[in-house]
Amino acid sequence: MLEGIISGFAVAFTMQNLLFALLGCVLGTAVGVLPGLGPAATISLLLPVVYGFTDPATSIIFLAGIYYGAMYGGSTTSILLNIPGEAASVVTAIDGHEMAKKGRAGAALSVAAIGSFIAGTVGVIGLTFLAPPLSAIALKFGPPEYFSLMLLGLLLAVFLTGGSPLKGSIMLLCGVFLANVGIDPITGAERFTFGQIWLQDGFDFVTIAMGMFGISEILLTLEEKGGGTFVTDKIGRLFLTMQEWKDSRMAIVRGSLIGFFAGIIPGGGAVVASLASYSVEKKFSKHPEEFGHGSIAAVAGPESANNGASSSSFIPLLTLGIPCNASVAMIFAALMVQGITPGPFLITDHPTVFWGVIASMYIGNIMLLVLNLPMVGIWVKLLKVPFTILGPIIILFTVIGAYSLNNDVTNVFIMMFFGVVGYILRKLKFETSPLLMAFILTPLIENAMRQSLLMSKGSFLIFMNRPISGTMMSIFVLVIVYSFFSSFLKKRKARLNKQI
Amino acid sequence: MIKQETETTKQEMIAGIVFLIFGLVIIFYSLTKLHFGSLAKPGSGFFPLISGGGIALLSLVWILGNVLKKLKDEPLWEKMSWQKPLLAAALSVVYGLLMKPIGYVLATLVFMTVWQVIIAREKKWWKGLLVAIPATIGVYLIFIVLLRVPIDRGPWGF
Repeated sequence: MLEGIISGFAVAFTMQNLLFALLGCVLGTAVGVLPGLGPAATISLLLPVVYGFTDPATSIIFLAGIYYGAMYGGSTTSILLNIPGEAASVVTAIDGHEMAKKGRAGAALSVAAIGSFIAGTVGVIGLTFLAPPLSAIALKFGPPEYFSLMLLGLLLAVFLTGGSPLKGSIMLLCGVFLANVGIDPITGAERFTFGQIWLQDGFDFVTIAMGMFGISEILLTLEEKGGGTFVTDKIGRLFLTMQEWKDSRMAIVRGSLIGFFAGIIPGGGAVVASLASYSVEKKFSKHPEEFGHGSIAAVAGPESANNGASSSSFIPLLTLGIPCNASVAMIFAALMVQGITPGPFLITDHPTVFWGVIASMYIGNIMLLVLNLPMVGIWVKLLKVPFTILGPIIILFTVIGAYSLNNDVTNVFIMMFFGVVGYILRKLKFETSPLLMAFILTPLIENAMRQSLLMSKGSFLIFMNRPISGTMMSIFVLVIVYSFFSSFLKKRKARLNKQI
Repeated sequence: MIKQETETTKQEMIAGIVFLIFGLVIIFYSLTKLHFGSLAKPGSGFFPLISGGGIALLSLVWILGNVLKKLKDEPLWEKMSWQKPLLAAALSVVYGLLMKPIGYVLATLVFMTVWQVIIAREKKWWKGLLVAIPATIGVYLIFIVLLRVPIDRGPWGF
């Protein structure tokens, strides 16, 4: 392992990879700072670009930089504008903005950046040590285990990303359906093509991703009127006082750990981590009444947690070959396109990619600390670019990207179609990420299921009989039962409360 | 802490019905056109049937769960807020259509300028051009020079 990580640094320190790590971090921070566009949308915009990269390690280094970079940047708008730059920074806005109003914006920004750095680095260290043994365990996985794990991951993604699980499940199944359009790879039969040639290849996930994440976002933003209330241009001193450091350091430690574990669970991730950290910090705090009024621990904990989660969410990807949220799912898809199947063989077949990416994440976290602390003024200026310019530029990117996939304007139409559909769905409060995750995973799940059933000659018991698979299926069932139960209890409680 | 909307709207109900129909259509197609196979050897209709069946079932549950409740009426668009998104979508499609006939450089210029004039309500069209030119140059540098994205050149070579 030691030689692995050393060779990884050799890969990470090449000019190309350093450049793209920096580019990814800069882009990620910018995207995190800008409200509306999130890491998933941005990664989808850049997928056509990444197709052309010769070195797969460079692609992941770049895309990964965007992903965890966005976690750093998201806190900036939360604190200064009370507008979360992205979902995992919603919690930061609560206390962070209060701190800014009291003139302590600099301290909030600092603790967010420092906490993110510590948690991110802890996450990568965990990745370094856990990845090899996990890959070894994953080698024992057969089709039934993969089936159960992916199923569980999708389920948890639906239940943990918020919104109604029922709606999320419908979205998930729509993703399954969309993935089925085209020629069935196993039997060669045409599914849902209606005699149209352009449907025979099925849908391209890049097109759907750019449409449902990127275009729909712009369309949504076009409805609204103005920006948020700017608190102040002046940030004040960036350094933390001893007292502030004392108040926040345990929050950072706890946040890092919470984030690490939340990121590994399929379906978990940065949002869950930040919410969990907020609740935990409130319980541990000696001054819980301060929460909601500018408690620094309420910023330090969640911001550390969302970064810890973004690092550790690479663990299932790089070892088991299973993405646990939409952004990582797209990185997964990008890898597949470049001929690399993430999974337990990644560490042995492509060690340069594996260790190169991990090494690059250490470097990336350092870059982000620099970008977000002393350079935070630049990002604040970025917020002043009016949407009338940013909006069309983003659409520009998507149209060129979609067009360049095969120099055909059909992809642009498809993308706009999904963009409008995504826009309407989001107005109706349907979450689009389960659809995309299901779309990417369905071919693999279908394959795993068919192979498993062939192995067991039609018996579904194979999923329960094997120990690892059986455990995961049990968790699957428990989660469903628990969620029905808890929503039932909540409704009872609400009815009782009304009576009181 | 995070407010959860528990009231269902009429519009969401309509969406539920749409999904139900969608699911039923998928089921119909899977059963008639595709081969289901057997449990031991699942055919190409297996998964589509599951997805269609699931969508239909879940939408039905949603509809039934909300059919007795008093539904809010929350129209998707207030006043004329659908105008800008519609224009943007239409303009983007036109942009895509213009790529081959006039080349991506000119198409980008046209797109950006028209956006400024129509969507951003910029009164002076030359101001729109002022915004469009740097954007087009930027796009050229990033996509064509730096990233070398393969893209058709127009009839005039750019």
